[in-house]
Amino acid sequence: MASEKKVVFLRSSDGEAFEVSEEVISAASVTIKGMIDEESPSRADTAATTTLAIPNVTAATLSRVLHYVNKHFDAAAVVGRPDDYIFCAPGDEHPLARFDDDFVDVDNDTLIDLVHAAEYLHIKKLFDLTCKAVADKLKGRTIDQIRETFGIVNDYTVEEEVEVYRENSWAF
Amino acid sequence: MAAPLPQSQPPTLMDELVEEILLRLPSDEAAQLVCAALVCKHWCRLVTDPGFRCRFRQFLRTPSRLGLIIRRLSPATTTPPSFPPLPPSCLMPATTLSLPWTLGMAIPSSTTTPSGAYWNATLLYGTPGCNHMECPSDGPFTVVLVGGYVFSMFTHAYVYSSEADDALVTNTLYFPLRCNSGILEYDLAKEELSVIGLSTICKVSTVVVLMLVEDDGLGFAMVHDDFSLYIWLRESAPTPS
Repeated sequence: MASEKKVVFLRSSDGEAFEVSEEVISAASVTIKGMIDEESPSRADTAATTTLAIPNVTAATLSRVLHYVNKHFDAAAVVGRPDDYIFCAPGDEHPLARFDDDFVDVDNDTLIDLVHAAEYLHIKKLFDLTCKAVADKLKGRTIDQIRETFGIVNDYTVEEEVEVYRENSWAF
Repeated sequence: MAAPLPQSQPPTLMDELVEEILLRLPSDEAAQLVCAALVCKHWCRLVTDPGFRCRFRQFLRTPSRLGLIIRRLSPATTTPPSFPPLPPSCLMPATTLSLPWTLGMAIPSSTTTPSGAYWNATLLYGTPGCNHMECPSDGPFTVVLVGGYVFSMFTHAYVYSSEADDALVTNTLYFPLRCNSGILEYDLAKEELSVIGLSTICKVSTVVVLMLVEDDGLGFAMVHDDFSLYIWLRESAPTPS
């Protein structure tokens, strides 16, 4: 029997709606699962499709997030179990490792938007992936470059900066 | 004049997310944490917070080294082994003898000097019941050194404490004895040595590795001549009521 898959629509902060399988997005996002559960009693007897507002995420970011979610959480699309990283033999690459690498190979602003979206939507795997990617980007950057990347104003006086540097000189 | 476009501003990272990102800095980049501390005062407060240090170590999931014993083997000098001071978050490559530790129990590696003396040493922070996650780098510490001479019948244990009254440490240390004749158990609280016999299980040539098992129990793995791997767990006797 061909059962019809339930779908939900997610409306981004700039008004664009994206269709996604309810099962897949519920498995991925704790936040959206909570929203769907709240909606459930009122729509149990109707065939209407739910549209959920995601006010904190833009269409560009939401589209990327859903690309990730469909790749990682749609059982039909995933090769092997989604969480079987630890079962890979040494040297074997997880089927999604390359996808993940490409996914976070984006400019800094996009990556930070993804961190915020993953945090808001509570998608732990995506949050871990994007935070790690930002951390990897910090590697090898100078202090000034880090400030520039995150739009941070240096609030140290010269004397304070020298003091922090001196206290931690072992690390250099 | 039109306001500048929002796109020209770099995205501001929410404060609580900064910590999550810094926690994921590569473990071999200790200097990167110092760079982070120099970015601004807020970041400095974040990375110097004991809670952050604790989480950072948990993220690394590798045993931290509390220190190194360096014994310079030079015929002209008789320099005693020394402990170069190391910051707690600094993971440096061991040059002579590394001192890995895990929660509540330390299982050091062994070394033999050219003079025929052999010794194992373990450096512990001396706070009773501590899981070592938030130990201050200048806190009290204990060194337990077990050793002897190859041709001697006796094995000795020496304990050095940076404080006179650190006898409340309840951990137990285990050291493999030479020729697989047993495992030496040193109870830090009672200051007692005892031996767990292995002679019926292991041959002299068997490779034996002590390890931690579930619930902080003691186990050991060994490889026989036919390359079979055996893992043994020590069962504790029921406590008499």
